[in-house]
Amino acid sequence: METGTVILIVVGLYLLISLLTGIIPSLRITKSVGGYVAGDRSMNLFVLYFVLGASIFSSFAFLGGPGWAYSRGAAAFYIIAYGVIGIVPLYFFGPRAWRLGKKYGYVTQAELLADRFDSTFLSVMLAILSVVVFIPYLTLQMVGAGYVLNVISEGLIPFWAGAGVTYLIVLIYVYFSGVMGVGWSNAFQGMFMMVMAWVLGIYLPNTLYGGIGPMFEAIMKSGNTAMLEAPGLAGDGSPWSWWEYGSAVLVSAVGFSVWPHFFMRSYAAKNVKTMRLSVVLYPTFLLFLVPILLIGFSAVVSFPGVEPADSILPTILMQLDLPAIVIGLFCAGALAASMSSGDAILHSAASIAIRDGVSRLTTLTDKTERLLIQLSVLVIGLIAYLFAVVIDISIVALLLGAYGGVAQIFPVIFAMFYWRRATKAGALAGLFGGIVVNVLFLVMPELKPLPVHEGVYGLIVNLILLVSVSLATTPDDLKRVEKFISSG
Amino acid sequence: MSKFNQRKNAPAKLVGMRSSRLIFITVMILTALAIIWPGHAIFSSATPLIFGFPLSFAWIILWVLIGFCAMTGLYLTDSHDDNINGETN
Repeated sequence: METGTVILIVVGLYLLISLLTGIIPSLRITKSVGGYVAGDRSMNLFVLYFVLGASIFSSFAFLGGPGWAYSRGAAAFYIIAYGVIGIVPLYFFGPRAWRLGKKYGYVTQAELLADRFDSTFLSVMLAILSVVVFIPYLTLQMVGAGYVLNVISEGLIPFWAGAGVTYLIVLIYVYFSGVMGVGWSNAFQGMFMMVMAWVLGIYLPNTLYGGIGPMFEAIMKSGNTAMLEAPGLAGDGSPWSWWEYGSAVLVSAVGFSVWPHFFMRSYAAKNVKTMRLSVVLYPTFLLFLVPILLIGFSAVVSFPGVEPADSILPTILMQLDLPAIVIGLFCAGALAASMSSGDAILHSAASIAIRDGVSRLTTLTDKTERLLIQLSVLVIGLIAYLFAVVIDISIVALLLGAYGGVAQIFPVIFAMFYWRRATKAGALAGLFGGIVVNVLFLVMPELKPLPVHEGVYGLIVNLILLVSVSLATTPDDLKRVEKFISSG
Repeated sequence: MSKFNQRKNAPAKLVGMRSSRLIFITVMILTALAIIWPGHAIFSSATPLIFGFPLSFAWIILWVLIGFCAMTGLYLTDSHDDNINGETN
């Protein structure tokens, strides 16, 4: 059989299984907003573990991860490093959010904040910000999918068709099944990409160098020792500074647990124990990034000078004489990485836009609200796809800027659960002050006093404003505050 | 925190809960120092290779494992009040 046909069959099978695992849960959930957005709070440990793991490991992990290791060496360790500390707050936040959700019917992050700080404005602003951040994020996942299929099929599958077909599948199961569709398909996709990552991460160093040790020795012998020394290289190939590396890890870690699509999975857990255990097991998912980085390192000596670095994995696969079925499986693995993040983002963006935005401004019945969320899935999917087929670099920049912005949510979430004295005015001042400073330094990096991530400046201003404005204003209604503080 | 711990219906094993959480948070602060700075700066060189991995890489993997052990330890010792239905007291 021809190589192209084999690849198409393997990818087709993968897509079919994804569709089935995604669509079957729609038969079991209730036709309510709670069923669609939080899966009737019924997610078991197996599914929740993969949802938390796979939502984070996106196209970026499968293409960008090897690309970073290949071009920037030890700088790529940052992708592993921030997850270890970043997940920890969710151990404490998750059960609190779950209990409050169960008791008061919350299904999103902004609902909690809006109630604690008694502010519709906060809810609507967070909804708008989330959608603004999620659309480019989703676009990048689509670009990753289209790109992989295009390169591997040697142009057989045009970019627009690859991204289109892949995301049509995602659109169908997210539309019908909501978060449970995301959950079950992620369990399948997560296992699939983990296996593919480990197979390739061990296979490539062994085939090209005879082992992982010999591979790193070869990198050092070729005069690239500097790239293996922490904190690795900057984008231009010069050594990266500890200021930049450290602050990038810190900001990513602070933002990690409060990404709205990640945080809101707390509500989907079957019980508190499930929530805690899936957080505890999370680092085992992080280890899956180790083989991903090994793939990138394996190309340093064997395939020098590949541009752009993100294309290193498809390049290796095309240049080695691999059986068509292996290439097909890899292709499916990369699609799994893209889809498992894309579906979670798509679902959350639609849920947040309606639940925290539209329904705050007007009264909706549960049935109408659910339908509007489903329609938003289609609209947001379509907008992201349109961006994907006419992509330019500014979208990537927008997403990079988002990491510092998302980190600004952390202080208010912390204050909501642990600081009685935090007030509405303090929360609004901190959150929006932090975001403004973050954007300012993102747009004008030359103003930075030290070369640290703009999110750090945002967080400093955020904390100062949150504390000082809160202390300067009258305390919030104690009864309302207590509901959140005593949720632990 | 202290006011919350004094509430009337607080779980019985409160002291145990607090000390295990304290140890956990200390370990996680150490982890942060180890993987960001200054820990990673001390163990930043490419050599020696440990199980084939450069020292700088092995160091990060080690701390992922330590973080995992710390979270498992916290989960096992933390006297959280989760009953089967996950409802709070």
